[in-house]
Amino acid sequence: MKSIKDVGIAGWGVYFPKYRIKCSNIGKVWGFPPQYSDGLRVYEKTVANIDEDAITMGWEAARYAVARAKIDPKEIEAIYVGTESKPYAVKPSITVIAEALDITPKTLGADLEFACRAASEAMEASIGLISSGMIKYSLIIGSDTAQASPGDVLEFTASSGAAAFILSLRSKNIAAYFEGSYSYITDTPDFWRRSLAQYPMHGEQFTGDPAYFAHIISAVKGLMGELGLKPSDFDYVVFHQPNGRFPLKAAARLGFPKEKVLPGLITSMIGNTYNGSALIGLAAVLEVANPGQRILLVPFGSGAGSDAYSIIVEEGVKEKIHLAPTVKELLEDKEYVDYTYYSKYRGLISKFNF
Amino acid sequence: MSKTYIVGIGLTKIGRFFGKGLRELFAEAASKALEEIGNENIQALIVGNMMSSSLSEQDNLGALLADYAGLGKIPAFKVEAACGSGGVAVYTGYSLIASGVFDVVMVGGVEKQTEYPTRIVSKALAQAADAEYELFYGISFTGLNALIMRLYMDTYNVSRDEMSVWPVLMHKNASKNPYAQLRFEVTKDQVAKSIVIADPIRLLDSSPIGDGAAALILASEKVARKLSDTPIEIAGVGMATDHIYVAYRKNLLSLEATVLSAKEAYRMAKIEPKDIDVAEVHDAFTVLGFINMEDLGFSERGKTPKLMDEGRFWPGDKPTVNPSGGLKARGHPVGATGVYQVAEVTMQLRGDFPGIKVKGDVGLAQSIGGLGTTVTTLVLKR
Amino acid sequence: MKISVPRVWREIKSHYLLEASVCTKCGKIHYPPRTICDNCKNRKLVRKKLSGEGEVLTYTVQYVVLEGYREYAPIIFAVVRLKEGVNVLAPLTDVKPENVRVGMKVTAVLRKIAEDEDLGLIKYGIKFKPMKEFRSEENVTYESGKRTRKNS
Repeated sequence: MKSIKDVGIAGWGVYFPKYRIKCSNIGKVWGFPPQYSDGLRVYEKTVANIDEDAITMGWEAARYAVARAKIDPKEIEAIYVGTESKPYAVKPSITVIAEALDITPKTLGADLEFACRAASEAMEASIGLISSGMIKYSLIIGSDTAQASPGDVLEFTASSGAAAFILSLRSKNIAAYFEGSYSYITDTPDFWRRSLAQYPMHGEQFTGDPAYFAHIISAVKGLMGELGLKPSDFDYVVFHQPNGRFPLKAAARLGFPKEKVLPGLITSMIGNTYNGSALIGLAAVLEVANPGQRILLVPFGSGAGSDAYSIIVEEGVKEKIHLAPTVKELLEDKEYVDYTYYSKYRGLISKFNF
Repeated sequence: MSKTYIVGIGLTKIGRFFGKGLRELFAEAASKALEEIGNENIQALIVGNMMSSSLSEQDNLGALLADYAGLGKIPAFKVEAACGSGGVAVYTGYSLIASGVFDVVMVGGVEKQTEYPTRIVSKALAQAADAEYELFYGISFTGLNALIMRLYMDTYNVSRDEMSVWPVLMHKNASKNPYAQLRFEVTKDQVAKSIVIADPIRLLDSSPIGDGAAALILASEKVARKLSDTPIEIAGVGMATDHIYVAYRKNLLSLEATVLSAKEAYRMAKIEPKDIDVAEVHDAFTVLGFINMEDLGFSERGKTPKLMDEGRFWPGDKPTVNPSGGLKARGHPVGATGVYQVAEVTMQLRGDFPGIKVKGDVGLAQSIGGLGTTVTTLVLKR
Repeated sequence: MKISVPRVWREIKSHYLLEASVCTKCGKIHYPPRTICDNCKNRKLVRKKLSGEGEVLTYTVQYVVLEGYREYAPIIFAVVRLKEGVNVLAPLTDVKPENVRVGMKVTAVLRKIAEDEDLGLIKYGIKFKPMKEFRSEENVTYESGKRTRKNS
């Protein structure tokens, strides 16, 4: 893949709901051994309110991205939503978000699906659209209200959240730019959901080595090979974070010290936001990184595929941080709910048929 | 212009009548009214009703009821102004007589609210509000009024206990009214402890859901004395409308449509509020009862609860308010209520109201559609 | 099908963006938007997006809800006075009934208003949530999975 260096991040936004449920609470209800979830290094996860979905969360993250990009929304010519919890199986989410941001109508884009990696696909496509000169600004959103079968181990981590990035050509107004990217996909069914199924199925151990690790490691090695970089060239490493352990394991295998991973590892506090996962981690890193530092961003999607990006932080990042709520501020705005309210909000108990 | 008189009335009791539909209820009220005028012919029928379409799948109501009341193939039509349909129906009937188009018309009101469970009737009632900007969010009519109740209590520093005097008085009055839906007395404590519907409005602050029908016979001065020995004159009428989107209004603690319509009715009847002996006001909720008294000029803004607590407006005072029990306890068969009110005031001035009697020469009826969106004020004289 | 598609669709801008109409002659701002000014009868009006920031003038907690809104009970409704001096009626969200205060500062967010059960339309619109004004401390981190203070 050709290395495009003229596209950067003009703005970013993160949103996740304020409600949380403790994983120990979930474990107790379903009779898991005590401290089971601690092994996953996830302690609590976000719970979307009953009036939230991938569209409303995506909108809020995008609103913050526009604030940080400091542009008129009408200048955005492409909008993508990567999600695996689309409110409609057929009807785009991007149109609702676009109207609610006043971006329409001269706009291109679509809802994309590739498990947790769809938003990253949108990032790749946008880099191409912008670099070719077709459009000036692209808005990519990763947003999910992740589903898990109640009682399944996945329920400990499947949470809700969104991240949005506005990409543009490099200029004084950008926070960071892409140095290069490398994508790696194979037909590896480690996790899927059939079209009429309510909850996904996953291969438990199969989701590890053949899926998560194989694709992330291949993508990273591919990227480092093409750009001629070594692990020591990177200051921060942000992997897709389905739990608090996998990213640290992948980092160890690739030779990255864990100190480079921890700043972008927020799954322990919010769970796995699927399409939001790696991107929220990237936002957390942008809030602490310094100009000139190099970030490795590696989203992963089941099915399976991974993209590795090398991102260089620019001068413009610092003054953008407080133009919208930060990851830290969102982490601190929390209120706990118990399993009964969680069930109601997440539709585990029937909403209709009154 | 002809003077207009009420020469006959007919009412059904108000309650949940699963066994009677719109036709049966209306025929019952119409028969009683016709009997009072010796079954003379009616020239036109105007019917007030809000929800025949949304709850009973029935439009073309005027024609249907003219037929079932045995009135013949006369001009007949429905008028609608949400819960104020009754008042508007009287206003229309009055206009047809006063302008000389007809000599004798029947003004009817009927409502069937018990066709479905509460959650569906609530939605139909909420259509009195702004469909695209209030009902859109799922607010109920009670919710809308609750916004006003909180504002009233906060602004004028009125406590829950002080607000509760209204339902207590209404229930006491209704306990003597054989037509009333709720004939039991309540205490302030019971009111304050009743179920919250939309905070701060409680169950005993809200008018009940019920069915009922009422009919009036209106006549021109040319024929009035032939039909009745005690014709009661509609001496003054006023109607006004306001912005339906409540948040758009400047003052949420006064219904401007009441103020405007009352001013016009008083001017026509050549009276002032202090001349009124008996008043039937539209108290769909406790807070509206108080605001109505203030808008009609009976009391100072924010002071009504305390005044009522001290005994003002109870039977024996001038004016006596809602001797029927008001919407709160006599009941509120929505589109029919305005016609009930005029019938009750008529009976008071005739001296034959079967409940609490008020001696007097001047009466007032006030009918509200929506949250003060359409208000009709009528002044009757003996 | 209980929710009308055209009725919801044609009001999208005024619901998603709090678009009001403004009279070009007398300057009155109308929300909901209209085509004829009620102040001066002028028929040349323009559209303007309102800020979405304001404070609560009055509110109610509605327990008995309408058909189609069962899962949202109790719904908190408020009349919010926006910065522009215009009032809007809308639900409040992400706040407990006992924490609502008259005068509370709120901001508009896009949320689901109602769903036409499993097969019909999802109706989106504006709700207001409490406006948070805080900046978290510089040396606090969440890296270990728990809130810790870094030694500077």
